Amino acid sequence: MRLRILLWKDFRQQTSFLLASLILLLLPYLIVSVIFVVVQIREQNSTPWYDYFRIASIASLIASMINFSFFPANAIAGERADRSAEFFAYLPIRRSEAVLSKAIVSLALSTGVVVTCVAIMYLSFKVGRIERGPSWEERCLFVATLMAMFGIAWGVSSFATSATYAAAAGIALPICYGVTLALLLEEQGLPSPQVATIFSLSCVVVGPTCFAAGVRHYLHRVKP
Amino acid sequence: MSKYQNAIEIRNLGKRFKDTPAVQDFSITVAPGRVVGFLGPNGAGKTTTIKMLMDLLRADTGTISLLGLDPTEVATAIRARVGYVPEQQNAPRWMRVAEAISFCRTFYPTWDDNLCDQLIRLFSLDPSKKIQSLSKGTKVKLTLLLALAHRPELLVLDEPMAGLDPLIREELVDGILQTASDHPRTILFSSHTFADVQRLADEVVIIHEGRLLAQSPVDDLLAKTKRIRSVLTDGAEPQKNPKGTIWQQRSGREWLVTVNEFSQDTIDSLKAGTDLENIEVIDLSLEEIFKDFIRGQRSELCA
Amino acid sequence: MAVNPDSHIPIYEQIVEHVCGLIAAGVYRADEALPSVRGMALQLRVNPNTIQRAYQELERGGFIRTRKGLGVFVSTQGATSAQKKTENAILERFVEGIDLGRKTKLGPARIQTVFRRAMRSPRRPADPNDKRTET
Repeated sequence: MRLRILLWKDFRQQTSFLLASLILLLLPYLIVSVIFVVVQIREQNSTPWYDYFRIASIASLIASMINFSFFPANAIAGERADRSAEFFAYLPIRRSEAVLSKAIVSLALSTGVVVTCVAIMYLSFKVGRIERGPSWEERCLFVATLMAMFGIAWGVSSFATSATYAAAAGIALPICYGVTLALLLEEQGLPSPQVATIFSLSCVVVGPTCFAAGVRHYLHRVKP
Repeated sequence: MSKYQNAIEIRNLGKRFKDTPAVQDFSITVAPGRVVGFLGPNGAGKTTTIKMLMDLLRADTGTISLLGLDPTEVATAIRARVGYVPEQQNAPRWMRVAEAISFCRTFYPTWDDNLCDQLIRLFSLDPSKKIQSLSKGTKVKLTLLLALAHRPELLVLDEPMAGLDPLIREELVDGILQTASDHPRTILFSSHTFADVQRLADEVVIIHEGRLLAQSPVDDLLAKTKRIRSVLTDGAEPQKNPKGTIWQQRSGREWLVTVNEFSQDTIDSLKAGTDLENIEVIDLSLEEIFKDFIRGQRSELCA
Repeated sequence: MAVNPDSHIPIYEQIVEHVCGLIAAGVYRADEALPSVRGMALQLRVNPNTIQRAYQELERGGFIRTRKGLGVFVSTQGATSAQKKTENAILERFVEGIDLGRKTKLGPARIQTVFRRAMRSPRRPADPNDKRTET
C-alpha cells in the first residue's frame, strides 16, 4: 500500500515530463509528414511514404533517448525544485521506500517510451521491407549509452536541487565523452568498432556506478 | 501516562552556517502535555532549532531527544508520532486536497478518519480543490489538518499564524484546541503573535541570537517580571542594578529597570544603592517582557 | 465572555475573576454545573491546562467543587464567597482612588464628596474598545 501510493505520487510528479516527451517523439513524424506532402505536390514520382515513415521513426527513437535523462533527473531534484521534497521529508516515509519508488517509476517510464519507439521503428522496417536491422554492436552501444545517461542524470539529481542540471549532465556528459574518445582513439589509429566497444564498456561501468552513488547519497542525506 | 520523562530534551545544541553561529549551547526540556511558546526575534534561531528537532538539519554539537528517542537514528519512527507545520507550506502543488489527505493517511498508523472529517468541516476545506489554487491561509489549514489528524503525541508548529488574518488565526487556534483538549499532547510552537502565545502556552522559551534567554511558565514570568520606575534625587547616580535585571534605561532623572526575579528585596536593594523617590512597580504584558529581554540583550551587546 | 490575551494579568487569573463575577451575579447558582474544562477551553479559546488551573484556584477558594466523573459545580457557599471576593476587589479599587487623592493632597472631606458623586453617577456604558467587556 505504501509503495503503491508512492508509485502513484512519483508517476504524477513525472506527468508533465511524460507529456513533453510525447510531443518530442511526435515531432519527427510531423516534420517528415510536412516534407512528404510538399515533395508529393512538387514532383510526382518521389520516394514511397514508408521511407519517410522509417526516417521519422529513427529520428523519434534518437529523440526518445533523452528520456533516459529527463525522468531520472526529475525524480529527485524535481521535488527539491518545487520544494515538495520538504513536505515529503517530514512524513514518516522511509528513504529506502522513497528511492525505490522513484527508481521504479523513472526506469519504467523511460524504458516504456524507448521500447515503444523501437517497436515503431521495427514496424517501419517491416513496412519498408528492410531486412537488415541494427547490428548487435549497434544495439549494445545504444543500450550502454542509455545506461550512462540514466545513471549520470540520476546521480546528479540526487545531489542537485535543479532537475535541469541533472538532465543536462545526463545528456551532455556521455556525448562529450563519446566524441572525445572517438577523436583521441581514432587518431591513434584504432578502428571504429573497437572505439565503440571501449565507449560501451565504460558506459556500462559509469552508469550503474553513478546510479549507486545517487542512491547512497539520497539514503544518507539529511536535508530533504 | 507516557513512556518518556520529557517530550523534548535538547542539550547544548549548536549549529553554524559557515562562520555565523545560528544556535549556540541551547538546552531546554519540555515535559509531556505542556504547551510551549517559542519566542525570539527574526533570525534568532527558532526555525533552525525546529528543523534540527525534525531532523531536517543536523546539529554540529549537542543532543536532541524527542519522545525519548534520538531523531538522528529513528527519524521515520518519530515522524509517525509527531505533527509538524513548517514555516512555508510545501505540499505538492499538483495534488488535490483529498489526494494530499489520502496520501498522508497511508503513512500514519494512528490516522483518525473521524477527526480528519471534523477538521475538514471546521476549516471549511474543499477536498476537490488543487493545492496550487489555495490561499496561504487555506494551505496552512490543510497542513495543520495533516499534522493533527493522526493524533500526534507531539505537535511542532513553526510560526503557523504568521501573515494570516485574525479569523483564520482563530480557526487554527480552534483546531489545535479541539485536538489538544481531547487528549493532552505536547505542543511547541514558535510565534510572533503574543496574544496567541498567551492564550495557548503554559510556558515560553525565549531565544536570541541562538542562545536561550529564558524558559519559564507564562504565569510565573508575568508574576515575577516587573518594571520599576523611579526618579533619581538631584545628583544621584544609579549604583548597581538589582538582581535579575534584564533591561534598564535612564532618561533625565527617570530610571527604569526591568527585573525577572521581582520581590520586596528588589526594591530594598534599589533603595540601598541609590537615592530615589517615587518608586513605582509596573506590571508588564508578555509582549513587553519579551521586548525588554531582547532590548536588554541588544544594549548589552552595544555597550 | 472573553479573555484579554494582551493583558499583564495571567489568563488563569482573568478566568478566576470572571467566573467569580458570574457566580456573584447569580448566572451560575449553587449546585449548578460549570462548563467542562474542554468546553470552557474551546469557548474562551485558551489552553485547557489554563482552565484546569483556574478551576483549581476556584476550588481552593471554595467557590466551586469537583464531583468525580460529573464535572465542576458551584459550591453551596459559592455565591457568598464570590460576593465577598467582589467586595475585596471594590475595596482595592477604592484604596487606589483614596491613595491618589492623598498623593494630590485632597482632604478626606473632598474625597468623600467625590465618592458620593461616583455613587450618583449613571452606570458607565460599556467601552467598545475594552476587550474585556462581555461580547
